[in-house]
Amino acid sequence: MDLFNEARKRQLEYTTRRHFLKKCTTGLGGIALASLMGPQYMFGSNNTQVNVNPLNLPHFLPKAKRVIYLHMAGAPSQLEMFDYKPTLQKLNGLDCPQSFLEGKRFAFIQGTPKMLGPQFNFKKYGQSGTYLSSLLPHFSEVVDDVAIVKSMHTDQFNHAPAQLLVQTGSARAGRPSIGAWVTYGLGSENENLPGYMVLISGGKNPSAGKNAWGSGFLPSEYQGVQCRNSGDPILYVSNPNGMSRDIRQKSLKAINDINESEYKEFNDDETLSRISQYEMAFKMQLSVPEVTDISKEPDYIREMYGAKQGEASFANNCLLARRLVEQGVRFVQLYDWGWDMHGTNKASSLNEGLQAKCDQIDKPMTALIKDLKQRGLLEDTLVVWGGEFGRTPMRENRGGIEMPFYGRDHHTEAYTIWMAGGGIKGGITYGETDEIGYYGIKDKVHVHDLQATILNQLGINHEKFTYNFQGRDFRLTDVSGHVVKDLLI
Amino acid sequence: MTFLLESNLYQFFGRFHAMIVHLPIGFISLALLFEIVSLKQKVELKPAISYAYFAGAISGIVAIILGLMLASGGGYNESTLNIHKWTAIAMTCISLLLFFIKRYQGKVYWVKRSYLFFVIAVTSLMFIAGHNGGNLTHGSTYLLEYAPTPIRTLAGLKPERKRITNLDSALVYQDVISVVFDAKCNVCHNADKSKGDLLLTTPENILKGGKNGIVLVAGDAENSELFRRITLDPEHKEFMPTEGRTPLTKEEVQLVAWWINEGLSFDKKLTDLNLTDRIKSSLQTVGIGLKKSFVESLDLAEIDNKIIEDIRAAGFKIKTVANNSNLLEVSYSVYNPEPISEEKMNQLLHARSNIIWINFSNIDLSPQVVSKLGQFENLTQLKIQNTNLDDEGLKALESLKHLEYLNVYGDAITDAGIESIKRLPALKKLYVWKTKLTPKGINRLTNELNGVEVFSGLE
Repeated sequence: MDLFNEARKRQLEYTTRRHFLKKCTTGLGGIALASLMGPQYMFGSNNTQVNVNPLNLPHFLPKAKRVIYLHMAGAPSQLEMFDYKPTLQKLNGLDCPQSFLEGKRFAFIQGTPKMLGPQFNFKKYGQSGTYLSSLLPHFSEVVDDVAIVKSMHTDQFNHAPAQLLVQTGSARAGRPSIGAWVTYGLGSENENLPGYMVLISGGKNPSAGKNAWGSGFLPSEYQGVQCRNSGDPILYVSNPNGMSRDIRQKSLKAINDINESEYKEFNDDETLSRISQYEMAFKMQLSVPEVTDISKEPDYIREMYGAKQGEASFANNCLLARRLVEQGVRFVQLYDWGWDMHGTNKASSLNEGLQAKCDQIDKPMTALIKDLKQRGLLEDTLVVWGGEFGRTPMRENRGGIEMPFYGRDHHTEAYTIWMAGGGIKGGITYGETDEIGYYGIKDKVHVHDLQATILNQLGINHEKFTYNFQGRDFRLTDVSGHVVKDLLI
Repeated sequence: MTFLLESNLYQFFGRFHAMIVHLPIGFISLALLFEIVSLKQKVELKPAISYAYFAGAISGIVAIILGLMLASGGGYNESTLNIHKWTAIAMTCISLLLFFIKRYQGKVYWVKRSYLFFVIAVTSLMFIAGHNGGNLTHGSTYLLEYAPTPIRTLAGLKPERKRITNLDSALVYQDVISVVFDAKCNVCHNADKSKGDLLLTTPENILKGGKNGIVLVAGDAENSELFRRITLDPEHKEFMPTEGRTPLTKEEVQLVAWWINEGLSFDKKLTDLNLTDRIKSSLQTVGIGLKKSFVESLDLAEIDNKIIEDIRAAGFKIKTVANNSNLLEVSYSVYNPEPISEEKMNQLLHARSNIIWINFSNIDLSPQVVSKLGQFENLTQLKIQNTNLDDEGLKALESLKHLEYLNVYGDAITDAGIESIKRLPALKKLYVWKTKLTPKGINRLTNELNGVEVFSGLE
């Protein structure tokens, strides 16, 4: 016992500073070399330059200045709404061929499911002759203004990772969302409102949670600001009882003065962003209640959207989205919920649940396009509608049995989104799926391609828009993504 | 030992030729350097020189053996290959000879006298062999491809034909297909290195095909070998371009297919063929038919930073529309308690020609301010909705010759303002919702303004 300790002690005594330096020479040499080649290589670059436009954005002349992204969390069924498949109707009720099932993973489908034809009737609409189902009577009025992409595909078949992939470019949490990237790159056009706002139509939050509008490794001021449906639109934006706006101003001034001197002493940029956040919050006390008050809209506009004051609804949020972009908010993210039509109960059945959901969004999203158009905003506002994946051409058979309601399982290979405004062609349908809507067979568009296209419309080259974090450059589309040029005017 | 007979193994070793071949060049150059140094200085370099020649000769022999293996694969221009081969062999022999002369002090008289001749010979042979080797690998046009015209004429090459990039006059072969072939195929399929006996440099050779016959079937891309090869899976052994060279882009493949299906024309114009929208957009990716908008054609000097600062101080938000652009966009915050004054406008006018977008919506605009808007000669977009603009104000805008987008919704303009709007020659989009225009007036606008989209809102 003691012998062991003694040996250890002796050994430590032998290890002198000379030994240490001798053993470390290689490392020291490396450090010396790094400092010779430039100190920035020594500890990884830490670009803290403060500049009016440090990112040199936009890279080129933008077609769109702002984005409204309507995300239908749960994944709407493309086969009931947009992608008309008469052949699938003929195959209705037949066993699904094994070739479609081999090597595939589904969230719930087991064994051999039956094929399921479209549950609603389709008709051609508009000058473009675009197919739409009877679920979207209002939307049929604006088909000539939108581009429908039928060949979307994704990598993830569960909601949370798939939502993250759509919103942040990665299926794992921790990356900045597209709205954060855009506001980080382009800033806000309105100094009194946050550049990136998030509106949720009541009900459930998206399963990806707040990561879906997080700022990831970007400075925290670029994360999405969620607008609540009742009470203060933004938490703590109004003064507590007994606190007047004057006193608030004085106290903020005092805090900012202290922060100011703190910054002078330590030169930490996060202090600056803290100061700007306080200033922004003070300005928002006036501007946010103003812009979020839809009672200021005339009756016929509220009627057009189907918005009712004080309600938590997609309709209210569409109207709000228009009010926000009108004031120069850069990125407005809407989340609707309850689109996951598995057929386990009435509310998640294709026949009734989907009808109810479409009734909720059809009128407001149509009104949004029309309203943006008449105000001249559609010209430079990009509207994107879509879910996180599609739904199978097979009927879901959870547990291997026939379920009481009609439903479809999650499907990554093909789904439909649409885009409008902001330099996107109107009245076109892009991409094709096979006869039953299982695979995209022409002009496939991956989630990263969609993201690249959105950034492109804002004047951003998605390959050049990077942020250095943990020793490497990150971008929204990471190592993939191609701009879908055929969609652009 | 049968594996030695496999030609693949020959190719395997042969490809190291490209690496080893640089060694004799280096050694002989080194020897020459030493020769020059030993002329001037009294340094004893004889052994160094002799060993450099020796190393040059040995590596030369290895390179020649590998080179012969590589050449056995075929596909090289015979005469260039012969020059390359024999000059290289001669160079190696002389290098060896020089080694012996140096080593054994050249006691024989004629050897001593001709030493300089051999040095010059080995140098020239090295250049000739090296240049021809380069031609074999990269094609004879490679070296001077980007040379300035005087050098090209000196070398007896045609001055570069100026490529036509205008959609209406560009030729399908000369301006599109041959450009694609040159960029992606002709490194290996040229007069010096016709891999698979296929040359893609001239129409005759393209039609002639390669060692397995023709590669193009007019009107039938699907059955054309060339098309099959460029559309295979990139991992496939027969995929072209091979050896990890850059493949054709999706658009280039599409254009080649289109050219084949449209009948393999070598002299027709693009417009003589069936031009679909998709083909047009693919053509744009290879630089044909890029339309320049008015804004893109503007070439203006940067506005002085001092002027921009003054404009900012006056309360305007002003910034360039894109990075590396000198064009500016201007807006005025609705939260700014001070309305825009005449003086502020005068300040803004210092940057007038560079301003292409103005957003003065939702604020108070005095008639004096509006009257100055007509001076922004390059303005293409004016957002002036929900202001106190009236018919009188519209008159001030008549001088905006390049205005494409005009938003006056919510403004107090009436049918009397229609004449002013009609004087805007470049107008494409007009927003007149919630104005005092009568339905009749809006009808007039829609009917009388050709090519203008009029947005009057919901009925």
